[in-house]
Amino acid sequence: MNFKSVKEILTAIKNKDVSVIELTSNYLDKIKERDDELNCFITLTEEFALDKARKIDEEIAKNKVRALSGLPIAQKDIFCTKNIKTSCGSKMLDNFVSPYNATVIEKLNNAGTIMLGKTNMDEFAMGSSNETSFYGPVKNPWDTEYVPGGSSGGSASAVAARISPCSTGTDTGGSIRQPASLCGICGLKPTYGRVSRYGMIAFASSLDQAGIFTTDALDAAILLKEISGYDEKDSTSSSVEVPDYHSYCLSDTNYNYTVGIPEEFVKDLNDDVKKVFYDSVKVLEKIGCKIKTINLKYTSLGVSAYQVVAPAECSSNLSRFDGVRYGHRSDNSSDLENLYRESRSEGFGKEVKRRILVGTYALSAGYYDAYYLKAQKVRNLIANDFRDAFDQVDLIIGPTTPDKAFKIGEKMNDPIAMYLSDVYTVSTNLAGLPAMSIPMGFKENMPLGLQIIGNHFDEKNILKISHLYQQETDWHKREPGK
Amino acid sequence: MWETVIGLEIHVQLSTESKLFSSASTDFGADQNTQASVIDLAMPGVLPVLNKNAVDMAVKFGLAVDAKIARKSIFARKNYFYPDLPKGYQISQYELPIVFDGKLDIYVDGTKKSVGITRAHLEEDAGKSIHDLYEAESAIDLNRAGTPLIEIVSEPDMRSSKEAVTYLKKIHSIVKSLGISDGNMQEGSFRCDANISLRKPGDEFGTRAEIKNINSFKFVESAINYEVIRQKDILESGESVIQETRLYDPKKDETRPMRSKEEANDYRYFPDPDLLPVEISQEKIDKIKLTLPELPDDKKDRYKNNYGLKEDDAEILSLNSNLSTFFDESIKESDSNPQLVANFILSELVGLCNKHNIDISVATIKPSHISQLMNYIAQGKISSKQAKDILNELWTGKLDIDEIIRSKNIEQVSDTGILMKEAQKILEKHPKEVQDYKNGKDKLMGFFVGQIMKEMKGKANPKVLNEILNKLLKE
Amino acid sequence: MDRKTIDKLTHLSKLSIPENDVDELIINLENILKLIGEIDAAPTEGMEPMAHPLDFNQPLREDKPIKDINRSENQNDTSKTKDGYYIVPKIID
Repeated sequence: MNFKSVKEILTAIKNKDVSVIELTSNYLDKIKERDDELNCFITLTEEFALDKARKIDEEIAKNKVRALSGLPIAQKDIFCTKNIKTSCGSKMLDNFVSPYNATVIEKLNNAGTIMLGKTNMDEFAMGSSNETSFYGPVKNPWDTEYVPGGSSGGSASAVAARISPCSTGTDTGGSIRQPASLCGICGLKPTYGRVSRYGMIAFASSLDQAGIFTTDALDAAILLKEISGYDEKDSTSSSVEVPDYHSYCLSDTNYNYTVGIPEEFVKDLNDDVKKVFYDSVKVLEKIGCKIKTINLKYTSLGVSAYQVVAPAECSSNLSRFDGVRYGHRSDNSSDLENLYRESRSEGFGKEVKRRILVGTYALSAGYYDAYYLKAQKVRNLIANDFRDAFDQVDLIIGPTTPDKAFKIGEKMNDPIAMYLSDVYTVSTNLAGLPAMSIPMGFKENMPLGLQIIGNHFDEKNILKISHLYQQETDWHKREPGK
Repeated sequence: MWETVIGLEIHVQLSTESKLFSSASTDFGADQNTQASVIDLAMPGVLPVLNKNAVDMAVKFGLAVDAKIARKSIFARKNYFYPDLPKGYQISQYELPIVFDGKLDIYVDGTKKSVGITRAHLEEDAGKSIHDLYEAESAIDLNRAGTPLIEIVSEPDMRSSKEAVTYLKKIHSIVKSLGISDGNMQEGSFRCDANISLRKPGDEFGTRAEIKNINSFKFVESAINYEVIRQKDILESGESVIQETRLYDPKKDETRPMRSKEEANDYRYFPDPDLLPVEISQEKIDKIKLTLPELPDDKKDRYKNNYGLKEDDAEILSLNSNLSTFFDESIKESDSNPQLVANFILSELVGLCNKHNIDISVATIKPSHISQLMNYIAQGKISSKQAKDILNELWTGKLDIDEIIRSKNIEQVSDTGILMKEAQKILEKHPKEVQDYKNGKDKLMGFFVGQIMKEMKGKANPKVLNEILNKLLKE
Repeated sequence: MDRKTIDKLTHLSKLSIPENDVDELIINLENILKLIGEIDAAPTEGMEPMAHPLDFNQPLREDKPIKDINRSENQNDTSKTKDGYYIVPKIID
């Protein structure tokens, strides 16, 4: 059994070429075979998956087919799943079983998907390498000495290793796109507000967005439709209409895209990445795109502004983890103050603590104006940059990451270097724009990703141009070890 | 020599059915944590959604105190740790509150005074911590967590405990009249913090102490009075007042420093990213304005202008919405002079209620009883003294006025024929006094009335009797 | 970024940093502050702070209470509760 895409799986199930239980068991076997090495999963939900598979098979037998009937999927362990452990990659929630489902989980469950398990991630989504997880690092399936990227490292690695056909992730500063780039798969971050955040453990509320990993753009289009839409439980979710992304990708509409390349995204590239990138640009020209050089002059401020806003919001969002009602409570709780301090200090890792302290500082009396308020103004500068750019172009492209994956342990002692590697992705979060990373080639046998950024709610054109690119190239078909 | 400066912060629990940001019920008295939803428990991943009714109620309040309604207001997070605050922050409002720049006119000793209302904002209430349930532990109940509050902040415009209490009572009456809060101070739906400082007139404001969570009008008055003396003693001995939070102890009638759970805290306010700006259109404001019920000031004007009530009586009635409702109902079915009805209610019925510590709204005596009594007085069927006696009977639970009159045989006699006969009888018995009266001793009228009343066991209608006596004595 | 500031921050955020880690932490934080300090020079005069990427207003929820709260489901971590209350070490107020 070797399905290459979500589409293939859905068709096969609908046509009864394969039963859901067979398919599910197959993926569970693959996971058990590979995951000791890769460490993609924190929790494997075997019984749950098989039960659901049987249920869906019964439905199929009665010709009841839902949008994603029988599709196995891996869920990032940041989405609350009812009665199933949700750890967010942290010791703080190692014992946490959520009493409710996140909206994304509900939607995918209702669409007929089969959850294979909860994937490993950087602790509380803070990181770009999946090395801060309480459950150990995730390995990049292309070379297990290398990081898969983060924070959605487990979700990306599982799809890249083909032990799950698709997975969910979250992206606050690049946490879907960067691992997609380093793992050679597609990773889509929708417009802020496109997908409900209810039940998605909050890191930075004004930046977080749920998204998906797939092997190609058409699969992403299918899944995006199922998770998008207004949710009354999330005040920041949008009621902008959800188009049929898949149909749009396949339609014959005239698509002569004008594509912008920001100077700031290419000026510091090393030669290898530059070559791979410009080869991609040639493909886009070949399919009819007009290429234009543009400027996003405040790109360099993105990382700094991000490293104020995200820690500030997270320092407040993580206050609820106090050991009182759920989660880790220290044995050292002689009084209330100790209960708080010891539970939190034992429960959180170094990176999380660092960000909480930075965030607390940025919001504190005397510093609020210079840091948090200022950073929020810089967001407007950056958003205006994009606004001006989208007056001239339909889509913006560049490499997703400055380089291929780095080795596990290489950047752990250099948080600043780690932050700076987010330079091409953070601005889109600050401006709330949608973006996707698709495979565009290799450097030293390790994948590189092409990032395509669209205007607000223009996921359909990001997906379409990606689909067209994927009809001319086969980077997205390459698998590690083959 | 010293001028007292008082500002009040009032926390009013809004009487919505569900909480400010979650749909859990706000009913009072439920078992612990059975009205705490995943949102109220601050589970990972939950998000707040704003209650429409709470916004409407805040707008109503703003309109009632002549304030400006913010066309765009923002919710902010107030960050601090305490077990009754599950998120580790309270969602409140900081820079752009929903209501601001209002005022309230109060009348103290006949003088009108305008108290500024700086702002009123929406925020969520915390849960409850109970420290005396278990030996080594404190127990947390989050049923109350998330209940909507408006915090009403006054300018430091009040200069005496009397002004403060008058202002407080008026706000209380307004929120009750508007139907936005039950104002139940015992249950904690109306709580007052008082900021008190002293200064020499003309000087800058002095250092203030904050007295927190006072839950009765009487305690507010006592707390302020105590605090003024305490601060005066400190200042006059050359020391400085410490800026601190204090609690009022009603048993000892004193304030003492509070071991503050918030300490010198930096709350790190910032706009809550999970909530969007609340836009309130002029159209919405106009629509809500149309639904405003009669407010205390308008009520007072109505009582003075339509019913001719005295200033003081109009003021008292207008400030207590239960009382004014009772009064309005009583007037409806009565033909009596409203001032007489007011007198009767205020002196007799309110006295009974206070004596037995029962609110007039739950007394067994209803407005219809009062109307009936007042009508009988007007008809001359009973005297006002008899009405008072009947009222006491009613209070004990015997609720049929006619039955009481029958059983006690207290029906007043107004029949001129009968009264004429009785009067003549008495006058014939006291010829000397009759002569003295005709010679100018007018006071003897009282004697004659008294004698006849005694003879008739108090049942003579005094008005009719007086007319008859006057007629007889002129002859 | 000095020890005093660290103490203030850890107090506000209820964290405790092991003595051995404090020096490294100070260096890390100083570097981070240097990085984020770059926004200082950004030309933001007259700009509004962006609280939300998109220009929407707060939706309002009907005031209808739900009555299906399942306390035992919510309190599935029974190590932290007693008789339906959440339990913490006794607080002296």
